[in-house]
Amino acid sequence: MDVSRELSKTAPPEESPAPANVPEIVRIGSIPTNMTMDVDSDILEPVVKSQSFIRYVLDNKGLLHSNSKLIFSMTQNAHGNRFFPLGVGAMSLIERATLKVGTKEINSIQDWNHYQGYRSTFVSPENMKEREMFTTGRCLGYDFEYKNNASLESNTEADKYQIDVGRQAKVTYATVGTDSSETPLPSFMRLDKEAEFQINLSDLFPFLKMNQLPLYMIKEQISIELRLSPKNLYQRMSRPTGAPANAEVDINLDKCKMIADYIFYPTEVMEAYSRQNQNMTFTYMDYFLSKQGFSATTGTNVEQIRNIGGAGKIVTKAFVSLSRDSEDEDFLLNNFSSVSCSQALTFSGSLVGNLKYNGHFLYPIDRENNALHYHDVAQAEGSLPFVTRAEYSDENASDITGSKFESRIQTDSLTGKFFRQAYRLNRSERVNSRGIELFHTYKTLVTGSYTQRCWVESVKMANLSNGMMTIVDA
Amino acid sequence: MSSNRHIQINPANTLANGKISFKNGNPVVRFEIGERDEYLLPHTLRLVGKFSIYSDSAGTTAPVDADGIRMPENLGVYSVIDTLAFSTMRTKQTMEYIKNYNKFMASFLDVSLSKEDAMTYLNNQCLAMPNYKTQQLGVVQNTAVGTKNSFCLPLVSGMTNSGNPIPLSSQWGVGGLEISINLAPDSNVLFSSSQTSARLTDAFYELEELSLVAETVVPSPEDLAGLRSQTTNTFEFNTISSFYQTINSTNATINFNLGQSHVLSVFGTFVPVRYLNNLNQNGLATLYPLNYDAGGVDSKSVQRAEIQQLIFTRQGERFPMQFNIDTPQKDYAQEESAPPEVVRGYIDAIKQFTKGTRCQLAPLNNRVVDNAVPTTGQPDDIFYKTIPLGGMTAGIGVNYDSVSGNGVDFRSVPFGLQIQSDLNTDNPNALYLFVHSRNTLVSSNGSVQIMN
Repeated sequence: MDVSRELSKTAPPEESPAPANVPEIVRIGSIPTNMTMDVDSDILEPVVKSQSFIRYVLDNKGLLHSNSKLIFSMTQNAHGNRFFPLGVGAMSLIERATLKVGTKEINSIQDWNHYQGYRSTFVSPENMKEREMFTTGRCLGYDFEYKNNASLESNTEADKYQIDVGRQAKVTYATVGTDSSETPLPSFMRLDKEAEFQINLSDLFPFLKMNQLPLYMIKEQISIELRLSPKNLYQRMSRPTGAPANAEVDINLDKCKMIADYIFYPTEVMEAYSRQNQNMTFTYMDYFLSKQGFSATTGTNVEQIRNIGGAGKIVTKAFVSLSRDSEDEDFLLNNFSSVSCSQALTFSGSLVGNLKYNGHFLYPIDRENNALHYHDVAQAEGSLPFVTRAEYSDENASDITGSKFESRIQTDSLTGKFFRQAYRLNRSERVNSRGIELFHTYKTLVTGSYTQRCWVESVKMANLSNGMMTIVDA
Repeated sequence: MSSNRHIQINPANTLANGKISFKNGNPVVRFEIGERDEYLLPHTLRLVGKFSIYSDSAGTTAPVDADGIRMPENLGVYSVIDTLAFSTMRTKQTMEYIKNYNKFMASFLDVSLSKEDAMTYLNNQCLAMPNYKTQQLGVVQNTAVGTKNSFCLPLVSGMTNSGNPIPLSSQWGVGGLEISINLAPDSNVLFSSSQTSARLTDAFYELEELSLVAETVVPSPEDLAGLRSQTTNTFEFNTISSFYQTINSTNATINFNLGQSHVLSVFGTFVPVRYLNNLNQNGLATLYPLNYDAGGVDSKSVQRAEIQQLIFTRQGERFPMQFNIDTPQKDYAQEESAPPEVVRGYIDAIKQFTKGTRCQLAPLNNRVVDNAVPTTGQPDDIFYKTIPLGGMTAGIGVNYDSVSGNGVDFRSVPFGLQIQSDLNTDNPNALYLFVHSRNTLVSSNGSVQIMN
């Protein structure tokens, strides 16, 4: 909303215009100034809450600030010092997030916690270490593991790098193998402290990064529905070795709340804006998920050609992750990872990928080079994934330290666990009725069962007319 | 509506086995992007391939720790590119030619990307890593012979970074683009982690599965008709030109005729000439000037030749600063901290200082120190090969235009640089100077003219 333009249109006229020969600076009258903007913060309790579902209802007032927050905390029930998965933090709790106006879904992302596993790679390590640790619980910063020289003096040589959370305590455990160094999380991040973490509304609903909802112009009920990650999947938190396995960790529902920030401008401005935008349309991106499970056997290629949807839509992007089903609370990232093809001395694991729509492949030659896959992600998103080569493609796994973080060996949890691919559909075409076909050949994966998730970004349009909203594909 | 499409091009001069190395006699890689009615998006241009280092001449054995083989950790695969040239395919006119490209990239990467970028983005794309040992173990000594090291390099240059789409058409553009890459000798890429090169004599690097990927824009039929009807088209782009000079006195004066009308900035880095193509030394290091030690080039302690004063001139007059840059070392020779005005000028010349939010220059890797192999009880960071955070990041530079983007005219007036230092021994220090300038290409009826 161009507020300054609105102000100039709604400013009261001068009651007694001065003669033209009087310099403007000495005329008596109103002087246009910057708008006063008030922000009103409400603490909203959920209207429905359980361990599987939470609903918030927003008041129809002001404009919804996109950085409003949802607060979460866990309940300590003798489940040990669990901690949120390092890559996604408290975002692990939300399986599906839906923003509804009346009964219509504006924005809904399925497997949102996995989606955030991808999005979180674009947060810089310094932000992870200095900000996200305290807000969302994400903490994947990195630094070098410097060694001592022969005289036990710290030197500049670092064979490897490690997770950096601002502390490096070296604790000797008699039972944890030869490498006894271990970095613990700051204690406030552990389950027993029942710390509160927050999730940004614009992370839940990406379209809010570009738009602010004029709630006061909407006559229907606006609600946020969160489908929570099932307790018995053990994906809510990761556990150190000493904590009991397969514990069903509860969210502390008494602490769940939403800090909703509403923006207000002077009444006449808001009314004028409302009058002039009786019929308002805005476009935004929505993401739909195409998911498929399959099994793989070491030494055998897995070839996948499948339709991921998008028929009739304007699709701008698709991104793919592959999680290994057996990875759960025993891993630092829990299941919110995307595994790479395995590398070994005698063979070179790789992914051959391409996308086909409207009868043509996106790339003239299938992409197979791991660095090129990384480049495609950066190009598709317009920003850099902050993951190292060993984390992305497992090409030089020896770079990641073998020492432990919260009693888990870092190489096990990080090596080749960020291998996501992104495809930017750059031909400015609407996808025809056949949809988009994903061509992936994984050579080769470790034996196990896998779930491949592909989110497709499509353009949608929302129309707000006389307080009623309608949603259509662009 | 215009649309984009991806292209992938293999080298025009590839061998049957697809392997390319300086040692085996094929140091030139050439890519041809044929003429077509499309624009090339230069920022999407990537050199893709796999990189390996071998310790034996047969190319079968990966180096091990005892070999002590290293490569510049701040550059990764960029270190193998000696020159990068862009020319028109139709008329073979050179649009941009960067000699000592690896030296240029050493400056560019240090100043424009952060440590986090280097650990993640550069590690994936060019196999760099801001710690010498991690890079050595992960790339040089990558024991997974089957895996090798994938890379996907942005071909950074004035032209690709200027952001303007390059018209490939023969009617309304450059008539296709030819990109030539000259590889650097193994002796200037690989060096010993210690001061002995006995185990490097057979070592070499090799590239394979090379290709060039990029994105092009296909104009809409209406736009295309308009473009075809134009008799003359102009295309603005930036270039990086390189100059080489040595200094070997306490008062060095350097003069160049740049021959450019829109010079935006000039920057440069030093390295002792004795380090070039020397398997014992890193010829691509970016150091402050060093003196000569009687113990020889591989001496365990080499004294610094601290810069005391810098003067940039144009036509013999101080310009753009109308004063001398006096460093702290002029008053107190033992001062180890980097001269702040020099550092600022260096950063400003590569990436406008006030806009730079990412940088790898730090007090730890930008200091004026003697170069000494540490002994017991001494810290490692006094030796240039074991400085952390990607190694020493020293350099000098001057930004001529941070406001208009027009630059300064050096067509008929010389660029000058006076360096007063403590270089009082016979030890020539090489100065690699890079000039960032703006050029215009005019194409008319299939002929191309480059105006600088």
